[in-house]
Amino acid sequence: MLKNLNSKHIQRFSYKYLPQFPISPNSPKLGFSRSQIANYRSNFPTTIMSSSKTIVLRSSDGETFEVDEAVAVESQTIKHMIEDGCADTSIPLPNVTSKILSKVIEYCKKHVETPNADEKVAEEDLKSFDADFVKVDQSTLFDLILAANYLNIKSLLDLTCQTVADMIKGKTPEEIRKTFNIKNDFTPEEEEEVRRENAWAFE
Amino acid sequence: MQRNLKGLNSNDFISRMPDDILIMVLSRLSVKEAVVTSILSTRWRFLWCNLKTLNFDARQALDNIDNDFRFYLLERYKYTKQVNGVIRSYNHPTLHHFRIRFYLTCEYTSVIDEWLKFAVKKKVESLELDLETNQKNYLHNTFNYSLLIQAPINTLTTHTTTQVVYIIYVTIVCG
Repeated sequence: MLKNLNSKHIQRFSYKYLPQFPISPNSPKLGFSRSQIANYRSNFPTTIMSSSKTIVLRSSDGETFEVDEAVAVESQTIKHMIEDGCADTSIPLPNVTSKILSKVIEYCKKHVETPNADEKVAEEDLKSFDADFVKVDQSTLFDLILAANYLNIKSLLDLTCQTVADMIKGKTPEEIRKTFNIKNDFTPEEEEEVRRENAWAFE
Repeated sequence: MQRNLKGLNSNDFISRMPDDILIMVLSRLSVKEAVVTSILSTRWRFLWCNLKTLNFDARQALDNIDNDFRFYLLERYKYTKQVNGVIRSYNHPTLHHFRIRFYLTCEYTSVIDEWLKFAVKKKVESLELDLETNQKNYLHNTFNYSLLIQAPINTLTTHTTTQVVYIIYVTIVCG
């Protein structure tokens, strides 16, 4: 393994293979605690630990995406994987296809690039980006919800869930079924019972 | 979570979502809109009962009343019918947050009693009762409301850390 190390590896692996702390027989073989890594990083010379670190993400269909760490950690899931030292070569995301992952990365990039919108222009720009971002077909929209949930990206999850809620608001049950192609599998008696139970809602 | 996907249409994407995501969506609707989804299909029937917050803030109705007082009786009828209906159908054993906001007078003490009994039964963590009666001249200025709850009384006291009670503009006469 050591003979395959090049400078790129040393950037990523150095905190693992060149620890400052003595390894006792009782300490775990791989992986230091989060506080050890954080402590180590803060002591390590900054010339070796690059600040513009990139992370490689691998989608379920095998495509890889290289993104800045700052963009990748918009996802709490990825952030914890990096902190736990699982981000060696690439992070596999078996639940996310390349099509959806590229959209998610686009969203995270935009939100990281936009400075915390105190400026009205930046805020408007981000709002209109978000509005356009969710103008997709339902299959993509629900895949985005699942991805945002799995990757734990709160703002994207809020945005996509709100979009679905807006598609339900103000519609009659029949209209909602039509919008989402939901099959009504009630028997006539059951449906009558539900209508009676909550009659006030259906007036 | 294993679910039988056989009965679904091939382009019914929303029903492939796990329950907790659908509940996230329902939590962004008003209570009425959430209850309407109970008739969509058997899967949706009791989903709304998993909502942790029941917020009966009748903003639109209150605006209507402010614009024209003649709407008051109708809106009040609809509002109480809505809350009573939800209380009957909500089958989850617990509820985190229960919020009432409407103009109600002392004729409604027994109705509000039932609402509070429901809140106590569901072990609410946060109860808001906003009856706004002092704001309007045409409603009674004092509202002597007797709180008769047949439950351990300490569940509604403010010094219990798990229970928070906000009671605005209501004079409570105890005992």
